[in-house]
Amino acid sequence: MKSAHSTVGLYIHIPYCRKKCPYCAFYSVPIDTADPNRLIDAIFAELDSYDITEPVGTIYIGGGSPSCLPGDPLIEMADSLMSRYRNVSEFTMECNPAQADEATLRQLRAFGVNRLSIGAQSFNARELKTLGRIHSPRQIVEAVRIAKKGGFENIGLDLMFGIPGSSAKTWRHSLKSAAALKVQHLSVYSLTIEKLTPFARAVREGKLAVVDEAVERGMCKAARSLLRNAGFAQYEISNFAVPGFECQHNIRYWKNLPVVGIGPAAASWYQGKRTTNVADVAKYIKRIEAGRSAQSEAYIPSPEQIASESAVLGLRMTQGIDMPEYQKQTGFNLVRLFGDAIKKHSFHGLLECTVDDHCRLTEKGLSYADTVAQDFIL
Amino acid sequence: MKTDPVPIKNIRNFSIVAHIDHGKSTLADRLMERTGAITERQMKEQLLDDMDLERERGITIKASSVTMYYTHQGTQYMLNLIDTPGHVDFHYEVSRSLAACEGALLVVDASQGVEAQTVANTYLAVESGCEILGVINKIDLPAAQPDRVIEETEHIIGITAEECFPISAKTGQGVNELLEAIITKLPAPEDKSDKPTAALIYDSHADEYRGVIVYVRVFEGKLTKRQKISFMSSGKTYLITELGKFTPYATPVEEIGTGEVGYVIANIKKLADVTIGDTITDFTDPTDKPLPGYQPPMQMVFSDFYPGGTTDYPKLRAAFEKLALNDSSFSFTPQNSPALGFGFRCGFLGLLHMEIVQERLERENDVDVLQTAPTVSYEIVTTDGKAKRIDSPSELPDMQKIDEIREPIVKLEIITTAESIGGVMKLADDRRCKLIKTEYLSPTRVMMEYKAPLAEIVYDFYDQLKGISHGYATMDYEFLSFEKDKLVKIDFLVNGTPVDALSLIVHRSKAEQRGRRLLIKLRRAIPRHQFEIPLQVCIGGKIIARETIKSYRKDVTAKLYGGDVTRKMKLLKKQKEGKKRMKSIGMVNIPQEAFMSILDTSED
Ligand SMILES: Nc1nc2c(ncn2[C@@H]2O[C@H](COP(=O)(O)OP(=O)(O)OP(=O)(O)O)[C@@H](O)[C@H]2O)c(=O)[nH]1
Ligand code: SF4
Ligand SMILES: [Mg+2]
Repeated sequence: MKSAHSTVGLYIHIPYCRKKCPYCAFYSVPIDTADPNRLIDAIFAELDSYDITEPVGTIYIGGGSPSCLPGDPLIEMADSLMSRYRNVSEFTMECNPAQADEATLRQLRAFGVNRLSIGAQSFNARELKTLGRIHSPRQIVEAVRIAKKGGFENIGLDLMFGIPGSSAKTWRHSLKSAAALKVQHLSVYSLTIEKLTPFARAVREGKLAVVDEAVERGMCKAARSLLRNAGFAQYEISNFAVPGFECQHNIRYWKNLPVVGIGPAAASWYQGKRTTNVADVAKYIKRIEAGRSAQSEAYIPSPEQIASESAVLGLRMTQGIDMPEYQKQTGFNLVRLFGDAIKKHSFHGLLECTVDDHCRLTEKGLSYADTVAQDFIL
Repeated sequence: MKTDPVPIKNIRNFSIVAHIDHGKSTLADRLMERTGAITERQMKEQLLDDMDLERERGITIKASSVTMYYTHQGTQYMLNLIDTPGHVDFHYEVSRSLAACEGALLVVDASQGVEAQTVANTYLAVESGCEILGVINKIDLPAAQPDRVIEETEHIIGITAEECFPISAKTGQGVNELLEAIITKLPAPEDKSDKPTAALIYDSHADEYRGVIVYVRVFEGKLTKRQKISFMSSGKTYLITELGKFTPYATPVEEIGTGEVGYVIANIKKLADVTIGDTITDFTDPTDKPLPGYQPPMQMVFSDFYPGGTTDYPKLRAAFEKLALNDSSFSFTPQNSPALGFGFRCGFLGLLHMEIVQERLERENDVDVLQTAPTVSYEIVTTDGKAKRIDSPSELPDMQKIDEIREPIVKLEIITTAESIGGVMKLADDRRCKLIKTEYLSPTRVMMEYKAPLAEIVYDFYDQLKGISHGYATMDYEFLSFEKDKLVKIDFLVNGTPVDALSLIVHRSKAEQRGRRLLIKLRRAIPRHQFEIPLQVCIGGKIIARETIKSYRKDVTAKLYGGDVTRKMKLLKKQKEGKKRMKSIGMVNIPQEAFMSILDTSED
């Protein structure tokens, strides 16, 4: 198998959802009025415009909700991707619990999709309603059962804490329910009130109460201990996996390795350039069909910027930054570049350098990663 | 450029003085235009306001002079104009300018009427012996009430209607009549051309390439190129390498005669070598009596500046030294605070001046500074009978060793509307001001004179006054003396450590209430940390209240994938920038706002 460094990741953004959730800041639009085939054509056209020389090691189809597309185009997409790229070791698709169709999943599995990421969020019906999700707790259980039946042996769930109205008790219930489903991966993160979302407005107007921060801190702790006991290892600030089932595609992001992002609003980090596509389906399609680039933002980070990004991202992983590897990749010696920051945060017990040449956040530091990361900004 | 010598009787020297924004610099524009000093093409608004900060803020900070030539009824006249700042912080610039002139144009905005600095500047003009012409400006405005304003000027400052000229500096209306009046009504300088040289230094500035440029008004004899001169108070001698006039751009001349205004360049290295108000005389044939000089400007507020962000002490010192090269009116002395380390204690003419210095410091030198709340200076008498001046509450010795604390008292003049009198009186009362007199300027406007503690009126008083009077009130103040009162010191402890830079001196009757309120302000201004931070307030060494800053909210549970990298980096960068203006004390980062929060006198 090729090492991650000589391969590239491929991310495809499907910007449709059946209904927009009021907390969500991802770029997605309701699917009712859409013409998915035109978008998929544009996506392949965009992919063709890249001259990808390295083997593609991981593919991730995310959104939005890819699972809101009809089965056939999805299966065709998987098929043609797999026939293009021969070295794909991990192929993930996101799936909404309400949209797990057994026949489609079985086909996708057969055409090479080998990992399913299910947006569960909570096992509490009231919380799901608050979040505006279209599925019930039951449907999560159902979706996992269908996925397993369809042949998936690498399934991940997304769980969210700090949902308005949640408590330590409901959170434990969600965690336990997730663990009981015997999935291989859990993404656990807190609800962030994003600017310009209906949630932000509701909070501002006092119609939505955020969870008390002491409670939220307790939730974070509970997740760690409960999941550890259930056989999961934390490998990133908000990610846990049964050892061996860490998400290879997302690890590329935290190692600052190249990923080509295709589709509206998708971001790429490829050949030394960071680019972002227009966050507008119609514009995206129009530009691609006219043979133009869909990028709306592009910049080439300086070597120092790359070194800074790599450090900030690398610290998110519990194993930390592999310092010799870091030097090879960025050309900078981590300790020399960020000596003051490392000294300061080691002193406060938030950061440590290990005997095997890794620099990482301590258990305590994981809770203050942003505070630490600020000092790795140049 | 016309260089024919102009006889002394055909010279007119005058300053333009007014309340802030009444149109001095705009009038200067029009006069330069009418006299042909500048062409229409060269014209830009408030041309003499050439510093970046002046143009940005739209105010005059430094006085500037221009020499113009104007032919009236076939005779050529030389007019030397000095445009002055209107803001109270820069009064000393007005006094200096007036001392170099025989006349003054007192500009009054026809839509605003007489305001506090109108009155203050009239006093200055009268004291300097200048002949005053009233200029009622902005008559083009729909809200202009020239007749009412003329009445006010007559009533308050004793300038009669005949001595008043209604004009619009914007449209140029009435400017020709004003020019004629300048020639016919303002006196020419006295002819003392046969005496030894005596020239008054009324300003100076440092030029990067040419060294120090000295602005002079020749009262006796003349200055010539290559003349050997001496500065009477410092005793230093120089050889004049260049003489010139601002027309308005620097134009070299061979000599500057009696009654004229111009500049001198003479190989002077440092601004500090020149004393404003000093007399220049001839080295070989000196005058025996120096010209009357000026009082040096008085520094009213003090504040400590510490290096912030990535700036270090030597870099900050270098920045101050550079700034001092062309502003001699602020002071900076090294300071070592137990809590904040090495920095500088700085003295300023007022809050605007302080703001300007801080802005120039950061902007022109790329340094980050952390500044403590401004304070006035105090005079203390210790139990051993010694009196001492302190510029910071942190210098106050142990209360047991103090006999009395004296604070600066000023004469405060407020001009406001009749209906706001009640509100103004309540505010003044609240700030320990004593009413001396009230005088009606007209049925709707009054002038109130107070004796006021400077510390009570120098920070937010003006804003409050504006609020109470719906923007109509204006104020001016002048230092009187130091007077004793029942003053105590309030100290704050952050995480158990006393922070001297947060200490303040207040009147005993207000101390406890103020201390409690500020403690809450401080709690809000200091961000959360990884640990709880106790805050305490002490009066006379006794803790009277306590607050706690809760520990951090977790900051990292959000997920981060590919698309967010750029956004995340930007966010972190912004958070980091926010920390630049913080100072760590012990393990606690205290932001700039916290230091300033102790000035806040509002209720919540
Ligand atoms: N309508 C009108 N506006 C005027 C006139 N004269 C000045 N102004 C405006 O009034 C404002 C202040 O003018 P300045 O000339 O800067 O006033 P100043 O007295 O020099 O102000 P400071 O130097 O800051 O004290 C500007 O916006 C001018 O354009 C006038 O005759 N008519
Ligand atoms: S389903 Fe996911 S992507 Fe779609 S609106 Fe809801 S949270 Fe956003
Ligand atoms: Mg001006």
